[in-house]
Amino acid sequence: MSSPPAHPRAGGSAGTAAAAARGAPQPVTLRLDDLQRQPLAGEGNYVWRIPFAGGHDGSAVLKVYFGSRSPLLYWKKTVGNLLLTGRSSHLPRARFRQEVDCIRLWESHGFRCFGMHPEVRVQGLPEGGYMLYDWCPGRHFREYFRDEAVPIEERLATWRRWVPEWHRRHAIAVREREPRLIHENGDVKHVMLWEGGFLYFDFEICFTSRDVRDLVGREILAYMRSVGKFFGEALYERMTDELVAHYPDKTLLLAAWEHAYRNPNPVIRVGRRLDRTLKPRHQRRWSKYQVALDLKRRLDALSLTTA
Amino acid sequence: MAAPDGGAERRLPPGPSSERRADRPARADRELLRLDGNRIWRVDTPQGPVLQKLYAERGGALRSRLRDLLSRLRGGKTGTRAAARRATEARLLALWRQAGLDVPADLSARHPDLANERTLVLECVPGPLLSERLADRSLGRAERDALLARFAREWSLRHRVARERREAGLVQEHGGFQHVIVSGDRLVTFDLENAFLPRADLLPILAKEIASYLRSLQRVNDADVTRADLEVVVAHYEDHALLRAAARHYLENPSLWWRAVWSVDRWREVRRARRAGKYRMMEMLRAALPEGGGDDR
Repeated sequence: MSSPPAHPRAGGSAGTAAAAARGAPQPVTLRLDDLQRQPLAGEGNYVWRIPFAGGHDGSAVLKVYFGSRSPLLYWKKTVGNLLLTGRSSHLPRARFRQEVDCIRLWESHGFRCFGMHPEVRVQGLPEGGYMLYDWCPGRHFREYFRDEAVPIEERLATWRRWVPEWHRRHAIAVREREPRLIHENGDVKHVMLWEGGFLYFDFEICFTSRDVRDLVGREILAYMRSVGKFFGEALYERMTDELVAHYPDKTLLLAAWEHAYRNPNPVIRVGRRLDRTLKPRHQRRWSKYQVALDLKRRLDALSLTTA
Repeated sequence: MAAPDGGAERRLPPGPSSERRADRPARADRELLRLDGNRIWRVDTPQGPVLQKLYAERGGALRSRLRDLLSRLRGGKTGTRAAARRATEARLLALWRQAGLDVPADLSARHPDLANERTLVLECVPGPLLSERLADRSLGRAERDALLARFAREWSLRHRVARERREAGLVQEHGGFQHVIVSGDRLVTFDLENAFLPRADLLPILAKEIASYLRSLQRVNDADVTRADLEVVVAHYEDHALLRAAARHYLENPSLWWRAVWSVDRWREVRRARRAGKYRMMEMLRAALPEGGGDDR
């Protein structure tokens, strides 16, 4: 490993802006073969924790968008994404571009993401197919909310603090008709508590539809499904109660139910009906359809006209 | 908040003894699958609480369209589809406020994140409904009279402004004491999502509104209290000629069409043994009005 000079960055969203304010960092070149790599994930991507002077704990995360999957699978997923599911390409360089663009977009609206180090080049990796990110050893929502060492009221207070930030992103996305502000792979595995704030990651694939309200509904269902799946019924009930009570725009919350049951497009509506009738997994407790009904039930109960 | 049922396990097992109970969750489930009618949510914002009102269709696609058509043709009213109701309410809130009448403020422009093409953001007016106050048995007669007198003065003022301006929008289509909030010194009228279409003669719609309010007055208390309440309202309503004309219009309308429609209404009122009927109240109103004096017709 060539010894990279230390160039500490401010954490999170402030990182890129702060670095820009200090002037562009000096280019650094690393050699892949010299790096001590600790695998963090693999398959779709290779993600390694590597030593990095100036990074948190002297580390950074090298994410390589070329994974161990066969090229045929990348193409198959890309065709499915582009033609059927309304998502961006699955090809490695496209995912790299998408993620970098998304992080810049999210940061521009004040949402914290992993700081990027585009000035770092790694010999032995294809250009435009990797990025070095800040190492942020925060606590994933998935771990934090089920940690019984943290008092339940503290956990719920954290949730109440996060809900308005969640809504703010949704509101911006709807206002600007910006599908990239919707977390395509959004769930409690992809949000972290870090330095008193929230940190988001995993933006390789984005939605392409301009019906952002529907995408918001989809994302809400995905998050709440994962809440139920990872934290269990009791905590799910309380977190859903808090969500409905504190999410400001109730009509956006209702978009989750509308996504599942009341899509304005009759073809999609029929498709969803078939989907929930024919697929056994949609009868399970944590299917998006059940979660949508839970939200609708609470919203109806909260409404002054139906309470 | 209502305790949520638990997913797929929430259905009761079938069986004769649980048949009636089992019907309830099934019906509740059906309700969950549709959005029928408006929703109003209180939302706490940094500027204080507001109401977010979502205008949703009532009934299925066919029913809502039919109702809309009938409302426009038969009733001479604005559209009943969700978008039309939202537009009507936004227009009327501005119109009423411009006329100096107390209605909730439309705060949609101040809360763009909560307002959209399906919703309005309205002022959250704290306080009980006037119908709730009047139904309160502990309310003393003096306090009750003061409340009714205040209402009658504001009511007659609105009717006067509507007639001066020949503005059908100032006549409440869905009037009633359940649509007035008592908030300190304010009497705030709400629910303006339906309105009468513009017309030259406002008397028929004023008569409807008066009958509608009086019926709601009768609903909240027994007959003796209602009679006393009506006398207070009549005493403080400034234009007795209008009340007399409204009663006459309602009870002795020469139009064959209206006589036919109202005959059906009156028959239904008697058949259902409604204590709170418009015709009974209009007869009581005529009886409560002082002798002499002409009417507007």
